[in-house]
Amino acid sequence: MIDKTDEELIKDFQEGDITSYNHLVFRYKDKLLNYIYQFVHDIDLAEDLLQDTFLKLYTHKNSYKNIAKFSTWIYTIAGNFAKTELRKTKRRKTYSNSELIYSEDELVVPDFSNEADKEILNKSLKNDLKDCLSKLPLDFRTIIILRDIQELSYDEISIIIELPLGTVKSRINRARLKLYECLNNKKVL
Amino acid sequence: MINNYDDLISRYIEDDLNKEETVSFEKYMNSNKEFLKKVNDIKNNISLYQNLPKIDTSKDFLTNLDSKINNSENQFWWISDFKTAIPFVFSFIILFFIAVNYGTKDNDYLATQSKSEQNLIDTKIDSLKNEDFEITRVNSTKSTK
Repeated sequence: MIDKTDEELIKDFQEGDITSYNHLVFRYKDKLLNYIYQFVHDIDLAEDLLQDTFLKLYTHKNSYKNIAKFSTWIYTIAGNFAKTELRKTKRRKTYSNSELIYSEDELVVPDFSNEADKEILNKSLKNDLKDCLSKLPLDFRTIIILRDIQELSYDEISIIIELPLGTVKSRINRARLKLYECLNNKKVL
Repeated sequence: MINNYDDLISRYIEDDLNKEETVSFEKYMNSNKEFLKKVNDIKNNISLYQNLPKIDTSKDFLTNLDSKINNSENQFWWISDFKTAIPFVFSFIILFFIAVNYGTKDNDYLATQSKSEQNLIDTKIDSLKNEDFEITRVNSTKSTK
C-alpha cells in the first residue's frame, strides 16, 4: 500500500477502499498543514481548514479525474480554503493583521551583543522571514510558499495557480526580489 | 543581449539559463559587487525559507477529522437516499401527470357528449313545438271555415 502512488491510492479510494483514503491523509497532512499555516498563521485555524480539505477529499472523491497529479489537486483545494479564510479575515479586520501574527515576546527588539543570544537572533530572523512573507501580495506569497517552502516543481505550481510556466517563473523571480528588498530593509541579511 | 539581469536571478540560481545567458550573467555578476551580493542574498533567502521550522498536526487531528466525516455523513444522509430515489420519484410524477391528463380528456369527452345529447333534445322539443303550432293553425283554419 505504501509503495502505491497518490494516483493509485485515490483510484482505490474512488472504488471504495477507505484504507487508501487514510494513506493519503497520512501522506499529506503535515505538508498541507504547513502550506495552509503560511497563509493564516494560526495553527488551530490551519488544522480546521486542513480538516475541511480532507473532508472535501472524502465527499468529492469523484471530482478528481486522473488527468492531473493528485498533489496539484489537493494543494488547489487547500489553497482555496486558505485564501477564502484570508478574504474573510480581511473583511473582518480593517487594520493590518501582519502585526497580530506574533505574540508580544516575539516582538521584543533583541540585543545581539552577547554570543549567547544566538537563539534570539534566530527567532528574530524567523520572524522577519515570516513578516516579509506575510507582507507580500497574495499571488506572490502563494508562489513563494509553493516553490521555496513546499518545494513543488514549476509544472505543479503552474497547474495549481493556473498560469503558464513562463509567467510562474517570472513571478517567482519578482516575488524573491520583493522579499530581498523587505529583508534588506530589516537589515537581517 | 540581456537588458535586465535582475530578471534572470532565479533562473540562474536554479540553473535554468542556457550557456550563453549563463556566461553573460556571470560576467556581469563578477563585474558588479552589489549585484553579486544580491544574488547570494536571494540564494540564502531561499534556503532560509526552505529551512523554516515545520509544524505537525495535533494528536487529536485524526480523531477530529473522523468525527467531522461522520457528522457530514449524518447531516447529508438524505442526499444519498434522495439520489437513489430520483428515478422512482420522476416515474411517479410522470405517471401522475398522464393519469390527470387522461382523466381531464375523459371529462371533456363526456361533457361534449352530453352537450350534443342536450342539443338533440332541444331540437326535438323545438320540432314538437313547431308540430303543435302547425296542428293548432290547421284546427283554427278548419273552425273558421
